[in-house]
Amino acid sequence: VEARRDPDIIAAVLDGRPEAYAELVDRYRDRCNRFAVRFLGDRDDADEALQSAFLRAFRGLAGFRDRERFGAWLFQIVVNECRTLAARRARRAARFIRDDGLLDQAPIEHPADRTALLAEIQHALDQLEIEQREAFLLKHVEELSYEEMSEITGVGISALKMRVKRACSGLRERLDGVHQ
Amino acid sequence: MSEHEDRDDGRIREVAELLRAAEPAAPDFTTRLMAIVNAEAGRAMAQRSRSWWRRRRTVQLSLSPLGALAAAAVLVAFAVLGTISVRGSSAPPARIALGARADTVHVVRFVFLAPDASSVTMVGNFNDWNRRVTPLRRTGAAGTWAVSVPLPPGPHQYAFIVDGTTWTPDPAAATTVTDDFGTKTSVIAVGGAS
Repeated sequence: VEARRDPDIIAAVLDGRPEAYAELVDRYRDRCNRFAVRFLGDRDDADEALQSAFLRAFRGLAGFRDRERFGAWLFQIVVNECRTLAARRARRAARFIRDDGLLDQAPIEHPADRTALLAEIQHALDQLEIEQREAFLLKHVEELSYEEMSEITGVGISALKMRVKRACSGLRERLDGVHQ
Repeated sequence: MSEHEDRDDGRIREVAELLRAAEPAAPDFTTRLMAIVNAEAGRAMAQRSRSWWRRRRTVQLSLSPLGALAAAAVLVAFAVLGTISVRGSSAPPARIALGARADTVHVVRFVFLAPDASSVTMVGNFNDWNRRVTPLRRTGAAGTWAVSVPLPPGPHQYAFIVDGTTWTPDPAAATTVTDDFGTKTSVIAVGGAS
C-alpha cells in the first residue's frame, strides 16, 4: 500500500479527521527524536521537546500553506523547541555547582564498545555551546546544506560555518585520547 | 578551516557516523501525542457545539484514607472553600466529594494501584500531557501510588503512564472517553457541584 503524501494527510486532518495526524507523527518522529536526543543529551528531555513540537505543528496546521514541505517545517519547530528547552535547562543547571571532573574520571568499561564511545561523544557534545552543538548536528548528523541550516535557524551562512568549525575543534579537543 | 576540510576530517566523520545511529522515539509516543491531539480537536468541536461539558457534576475520585488526610491538609493550605467528606477506613478506594465555587482551586488526590510498577506518572490537559511533571509516589499501602494535583474547576482528562511507556486510564475514574484513535482517557469533573 502506497503511503499517503503529506499534503493529503494534512488535508484529511483539516477536514475533521485529526486521527490522521498519527501518520505524520509516525513518519517523522524517529528522525526528529534523533536530533532531539543528540542535541539535549537526554531522552526524557527529547520526548518533551518532541511532544511540544508535534503539538505546535498540529495547532499551526491550518495556517501552514506550503504543505509539500511539512517535514522541513516540522523539523524547524523541533529545532526551536530543543533550543528553548536547552536554554531553560542551562539556566536551571547554572544554579548548581557542577563538577564535570568527576564525570571525566568515570572509567569506561569497554572503550571499544560503540555504546560507550557514543556516550563519550554525547558527553563531549553536551559540553559545547548550544549554538555550536546545534550547528554541528544539523551539518554533520542531519547532513543539511548551509542554506537549509540558515533557513531553519535564521542565522547567516558565514556565522553557521564558524559555529560548525568551532564545534569540530571543541569535539576534537574533548575526544582526544578517547578511543582512536 | 573550510567546509571541505571539516568533511574530510576523519575523526569528525567517525563521530558524525556514530551520532547518525537510529534513535527511535518512545514506543508510546504517538499514542500519547494523539491523545492530546484528539482531546484538543474534541474540545474545539465541543466549544463550537456548546457540548455536554457545560453540565455541572459532583467530583468523585478515588482516595486512600491516608491520602484523604493529606488532601485535606493541602486543601487547607490552598484555602479552598467547599465541603469535604471522607468515607472508608481501611482499603482504598474511599471517596471524597468537593463542593466548589468557580474561582476555587481544588487539590485532587489521585491514587493508583500498580504493585509491579517501578514508576508511575500522570499526564493530563492540566500539565500539557507532560509525563515528567506529575510523578506519583509510593504510599504506605502496598502497591499504591499517589499524587495530589491542584486543579481549577471544570473537566480534566488524564491518564497514568506506567514505567515510562504504558498508557493506562484510571480504573477508578467515573468517566472514560475513547477517542477516534482508540486511546482511552479518564475524565474527572472538578468543582461541578454547587
